Amino acid sequence: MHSIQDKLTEFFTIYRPDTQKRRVGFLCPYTVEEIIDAAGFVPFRIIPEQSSFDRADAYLPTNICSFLRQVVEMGVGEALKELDCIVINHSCDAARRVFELLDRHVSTRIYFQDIPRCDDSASRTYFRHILAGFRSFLEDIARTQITDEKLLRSIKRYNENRRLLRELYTLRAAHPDLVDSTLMQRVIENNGRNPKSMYNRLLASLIGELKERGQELKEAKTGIRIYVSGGLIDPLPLLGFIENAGGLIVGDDFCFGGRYFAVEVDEGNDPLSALSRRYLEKIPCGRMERATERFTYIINEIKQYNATALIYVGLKFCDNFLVDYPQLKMMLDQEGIPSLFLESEYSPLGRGQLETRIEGFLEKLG
Amino acid sequence: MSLQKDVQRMLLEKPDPGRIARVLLLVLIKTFLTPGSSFGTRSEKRLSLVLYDHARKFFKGTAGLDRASGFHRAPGFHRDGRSVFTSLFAPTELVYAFDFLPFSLEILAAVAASMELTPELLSRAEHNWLSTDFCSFHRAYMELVTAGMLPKPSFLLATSHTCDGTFKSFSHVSAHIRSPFLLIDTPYHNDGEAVRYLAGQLAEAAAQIEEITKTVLKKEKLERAFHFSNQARAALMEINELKKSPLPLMYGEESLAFVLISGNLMGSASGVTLFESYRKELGERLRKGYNGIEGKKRILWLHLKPFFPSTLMRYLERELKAVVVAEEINSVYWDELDMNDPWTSLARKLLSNYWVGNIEKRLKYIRRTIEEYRIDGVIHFSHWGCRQSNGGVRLIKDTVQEYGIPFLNLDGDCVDPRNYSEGQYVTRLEGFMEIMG
Amino acid sequence: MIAAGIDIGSVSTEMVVMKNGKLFASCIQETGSNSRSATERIMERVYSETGLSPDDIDFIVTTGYGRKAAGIGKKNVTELSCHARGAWHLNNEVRFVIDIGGQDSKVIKVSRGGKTLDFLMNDKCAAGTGRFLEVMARALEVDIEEMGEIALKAHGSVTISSMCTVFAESEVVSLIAEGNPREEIIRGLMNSIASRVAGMVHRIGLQEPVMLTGGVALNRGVVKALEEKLGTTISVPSNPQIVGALGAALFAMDEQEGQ
Repeated sequence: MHSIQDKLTEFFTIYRPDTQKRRVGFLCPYTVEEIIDAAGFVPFRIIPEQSSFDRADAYLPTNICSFLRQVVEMGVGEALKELDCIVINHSCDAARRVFELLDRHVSTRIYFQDIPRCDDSASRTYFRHILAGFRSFLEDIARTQITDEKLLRSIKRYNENRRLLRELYTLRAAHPDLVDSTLMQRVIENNGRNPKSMYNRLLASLIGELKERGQELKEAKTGIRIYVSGGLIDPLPLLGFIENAGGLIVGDDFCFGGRYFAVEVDEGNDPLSALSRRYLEKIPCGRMERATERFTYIINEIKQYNATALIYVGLKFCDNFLVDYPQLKMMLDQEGIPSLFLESEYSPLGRGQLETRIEGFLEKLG
Repeated sequence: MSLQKDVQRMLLEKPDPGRIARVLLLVLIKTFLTPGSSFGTRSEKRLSLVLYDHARKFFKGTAGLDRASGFHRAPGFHRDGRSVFTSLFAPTELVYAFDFLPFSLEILAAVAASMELTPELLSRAEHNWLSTDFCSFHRAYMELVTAGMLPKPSFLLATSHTCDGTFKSFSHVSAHIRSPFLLIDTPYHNDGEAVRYLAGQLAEAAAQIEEITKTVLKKEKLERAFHFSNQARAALMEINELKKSPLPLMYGEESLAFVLISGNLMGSASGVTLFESYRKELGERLRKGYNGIEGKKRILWLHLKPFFPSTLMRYLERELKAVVVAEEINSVYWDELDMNDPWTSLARKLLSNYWVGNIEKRLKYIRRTIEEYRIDGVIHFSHWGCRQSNGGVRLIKDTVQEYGIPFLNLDGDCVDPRNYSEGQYVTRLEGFMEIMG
Repeated sequence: MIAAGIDIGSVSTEMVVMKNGKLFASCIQETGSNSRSATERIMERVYSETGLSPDDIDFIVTTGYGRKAAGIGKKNVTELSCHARGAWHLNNEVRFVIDIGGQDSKVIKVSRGGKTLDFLMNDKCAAGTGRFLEVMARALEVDIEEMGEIALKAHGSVTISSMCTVFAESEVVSLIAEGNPREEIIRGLMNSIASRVAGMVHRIGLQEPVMLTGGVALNRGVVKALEEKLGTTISVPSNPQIVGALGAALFAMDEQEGQ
């Protein structure tokens, strides 16, 4: 019997994506991927994998998050050359500065997409205007019109993707040992780097496979059910540590995890307005005016998935996420949900502090 | 202005806004009695008096009869506070138009720093889960609020610029004290749609304030606030013009304090009186050929300075004789406000700020200033945690070096005296002087 | 004509005496806790070893952390300019000086005439300074003088991820416990220092040729790691610790000639 990882590898071979398509790099889930998809490009998540910042140091001070510093490192080191274009959102102050640096020092075309912080009708109108600008920009590069029909088709593909991910997440909550963090990370990372038309088929097959295996499982593995909250966490060994210490990850609200798929786009007329609405309406990140609303979402998820505790992780120097914790903690305390606060670099290294804290926390709970 | 230890202790141990108001009265009196010669200019003494009086009224929570501004209490006015917490670049004209008293929380943090209260405030903030990587301005005022040292404001008004931290901290503070928070989200771009969007938000904010205060915004009050703001602006422009003079007319250490006026008093009569006082005094100095300041080098200063008692500026300007003749924070970056289209006009003001949107505006300012003020060297004060400013240092440096003049990036903190030593400044400043030759 | 320069650093103090434009004597001592007494002690030692007396010296310039507290010397110049000048005197092709001292590090861009064009200092953080090596030498139980040679023998290296000295130390302890070969850890540490320093270099822009000064320059492992990081050969003078004092002595000569 193949392991599920092997099965996933098999699926990647079967559903091989069309590598001819041009790629548009992006960093943040507020980038409206549907427009990129409708232009015939593949939205490609930039997931830095280095841990040195020698070149980035020439451009950025040290007290900027390690994720963005690595993006700059990649940019000036010509590692992003193969992308047709890069989209940077107004995710934070540092992102704004990174855009200006890359714009001047990197040969790849870079586009800045502003995002309103608020979610009211004026903001939606304004955001629609911004998206219209984004569409024009992509039409220029793609040398093709991005019609409403094309947009609607992309929206449908993306909504399907969201539904499939939600199903996967529900499966995980039921069988966190089967759908473990290694598998989920792999699925999520690749979800950000492949065209949805192909990836949806892969996800459907994977879910089918998992359901079968899930039925065959005699009993669920025991462990402490943990909900993890944070932003960008791809290289962090965090989730593996939690599982090694006896935790079971039953849910998350990561930028490209739980908060990525939670809300769908309306499939009616005027897709640009629908997109504007959905992206402002979705479960917000720390930067948005509605930032603290996501706490209610988190607590509901914790209850729904029967999690025992929450682990919150913020990147060092990421104000948008770090400053939220005190308020979240207050709400969690009121609900009697224990929590652990971790600060980390965007790196697979530096195990010591994370591991010890996680082990200590789980020991206390167990 | 340094306070005695027992007064500091009292402020920190038994926080009570009313009591603080009384302490500030004593500070006011002390300042009033201090001889003018202790200050750099006569106007500086006046600025201190106005600032402390403004703070005193703010802590009492009521605007009272502000003779200086001419705003009377509305009849039937109830004793609920008229204090409003604002962010540094919030449109205070709007607040004054409602007869309310704004106070920038960042300026409050600066005042606390000058009173040497911040080491204690910040170490308490650290106990409350606030990371030391977060800007100390925000941490200091978050602690001031959560420790109950400030009056409960009627509402909070902030723009999303300066920075993300403004929004996060105001959000946190507002939730803590249960006071409504009006956020003005400044867009990145400034095309027609962006201006319309921002103007719409300002109109909406005015409507929300009407609802909160149960009053109606009167056109003539807004007009008056705009008028005062424009007059203050004109005076500041003339001050900036005067500072181009070959002989320095005032020290940068003092002019960096103008942010206390432009942050709190735009739209009030006292804002006008203060800037006009400075303009008059500097004009006199120029006419009389003032040579009281020996300057060997002319410096452009970017961002802010330490507000706690520190010898940094004195060492730079008086010992090394590198005088700051231009400060980014005092640049008049906006056009006159226009009552014909008040919200659009205010929106354009906000969008013209160098710290909004693309860094190109900031770089243009730097180039223009280097040329017009015959600058010998540029210093950027990298306040710890200020990512929106510090992130631009590379591009600023490249711009400055286009002119073949040196650039110095000075790491520091405006509000937290605990991590920085004078010795480290001295070497860097001297090295900078050695490069300027 | 005899001129002298004294570099009072936070860890060590150096003195250089120039006689008629040539290096006459030099001396290195520990600073201890007091700049003034450090200065007095080193002068005493130099006088006793050279047979000179205080009156023989025409002009003294002090530099370094304790340059103002030293209490002597008619003039003081920052260690930035002194390192630039001293390095340039040893090799007037030099355009970049990297100084890694006991508790601080600095990078200095030098003009064709030996003047400072730009600089960056790190005196807040132990990473990238001799202190880092000290802490790690203790954790690894090796002699700090041997670290360089050990690093050169390693075939591979272990990446140390922590930027901070304190965290790096505990990371090293874990790596030892996991059985990683000592020389690979040490090589990794050399790369850490080099990384930190290279960051500073790039911030002001590398200009070749480069000279390395300061006590840590004697560590060949650091030199090699830096060369690899920066992609350039780095020259190390035979007595890298006295470069600051040498520069100060040269400034003293200028003053003397001016008089």
